[in-house]
Amino acid sequence: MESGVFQTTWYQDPQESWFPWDKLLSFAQAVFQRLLPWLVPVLLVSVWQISSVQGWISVRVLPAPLSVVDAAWALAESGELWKHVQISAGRALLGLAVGGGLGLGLGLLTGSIRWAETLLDSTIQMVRNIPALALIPLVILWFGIDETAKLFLISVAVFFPIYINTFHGIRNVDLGLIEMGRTYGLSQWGLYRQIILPGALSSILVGLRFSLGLMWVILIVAETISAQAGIGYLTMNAREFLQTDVVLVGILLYAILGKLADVFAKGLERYWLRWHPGYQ
Amino acid sequence: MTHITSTTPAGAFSGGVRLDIQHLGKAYGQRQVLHNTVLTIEPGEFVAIVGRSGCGKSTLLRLVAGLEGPTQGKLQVNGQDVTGLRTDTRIMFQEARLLPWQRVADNVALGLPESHHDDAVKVLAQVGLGDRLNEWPAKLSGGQRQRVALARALVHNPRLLLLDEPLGALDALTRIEMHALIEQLWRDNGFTALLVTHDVQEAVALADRVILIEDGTVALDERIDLPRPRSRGDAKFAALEKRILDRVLQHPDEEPTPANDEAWPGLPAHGLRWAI
Repeated sequence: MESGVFQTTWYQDPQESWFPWDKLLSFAQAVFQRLLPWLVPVLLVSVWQISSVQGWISVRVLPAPLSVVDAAWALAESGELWKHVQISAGRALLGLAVGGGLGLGLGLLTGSIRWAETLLDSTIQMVRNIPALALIPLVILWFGIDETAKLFLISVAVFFPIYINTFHGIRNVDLGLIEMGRTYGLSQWGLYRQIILPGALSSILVGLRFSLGLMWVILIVAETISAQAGIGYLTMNAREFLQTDVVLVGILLYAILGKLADVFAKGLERYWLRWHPGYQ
Repeated sequence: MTHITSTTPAGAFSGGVRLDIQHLGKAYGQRQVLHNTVLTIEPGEFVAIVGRSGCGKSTLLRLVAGLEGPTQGKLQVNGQDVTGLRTDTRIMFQEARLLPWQRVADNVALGLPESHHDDAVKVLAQVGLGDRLNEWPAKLSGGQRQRVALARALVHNPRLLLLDEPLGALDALTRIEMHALIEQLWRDNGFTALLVTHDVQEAVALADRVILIEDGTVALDERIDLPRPRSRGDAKFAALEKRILDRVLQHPDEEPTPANDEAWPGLPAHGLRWAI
């Protein structure tokens, strides 16, 4: 049936069937479905470009999209763009590694061992109620305005979502599965590795995605306050010289980095939770 | 048993254990769930325990499994006291309790040493799932999941198989299929089987003896002398089923303490354990 190349049915004209019109049509439909979501953004940018060219919008307020692209191109060519992106991304990831690592470690500890929860959890919950940004004056007093201050702020902010979601992920593992694992002779480590950790993983990844969102917010604030390099420095510098196009480039860079981080986290979910019907 | 063992899973004919339950009692705080339960199960025997929900039958199974300790009396397997989980005892739970993040073959191989992983494949073929080795449990039907759970129990060559209402959630047709499969595997392997069920027909179809637990103790011990495989349409089958069912129904329902059986008394502490 699969190889019915020479078979024709009453409704098919053998003369025409050499060319797959129906396949072409469904391909065109698929392309249309893919392009449809882009229609509104493209329209908006076009209107924006036309308004700028016509002089309806002042270039000081909002430069034309093409001049933003020009600015981005110029920055990329001079190598300045990459330097700043690298420094900003480095800060963000280092902060995530420190704060997220601590959150994961402590969450696993308090989630898994009762006395650790009794000892640490109420303290952590108290500290959690302090917004990271409220610490800025204190952090400047402690660390000045150099790298340590930014790292500290980012680490504090990303710590809590990962901590809380790890803790709850572990506590929400199905007790029936753990009982089953014990009756099937799994060791304590086997139980942990085969049942408790995989069971908590979806919750831990939710924590990671929350943390990634916070990470960029805190980074932007920290870099805007003071920096000698990084995307925040780039935009604040451009603001002083009234280079609105460069400011827009900086904003777009933050958006792109945020999106990339989210795509990465989603990819992790899709791979690690591929057993889950919700992620297939 | 003269049945030819054509499909013995991995390893030799292991035979069943003898189970002695001596004046067993279990109380959770003030509430006495089981008391003075006396029961002896011969090696290789298939015993079904029936009773209304909340009568203590699931508690009895948990005690036999070593998941919990008794408050009175004692339990012996082949003359040895049961003090905790035993490697020759395996349980099938009401829910399949498969690990959703492991593929079917890995679920069956759970707790097996690396060198015995081939056995998992063999046993899965025996339960009719040889072609689903690489599937995620979420993709299986309820009956298929219980087959995987059965394979997971049998791959360890248990000498005592405990079945805690494993078919309760399945539809009637799948249940009849599973009865045949369980009976076949029991005859092939010769383990002792203890089935807890609320379905009297299931008990009569599978068991050598049907035990009724009422008010936390043995109220009836009925031997089922029907030839195997048993046919549900048989007059003697129907008469036995009716007699046991009538006996179960004679007793007024327990006071409405919801989920006596399902009450989660917490995991017992066998040394250090995780906080959950």
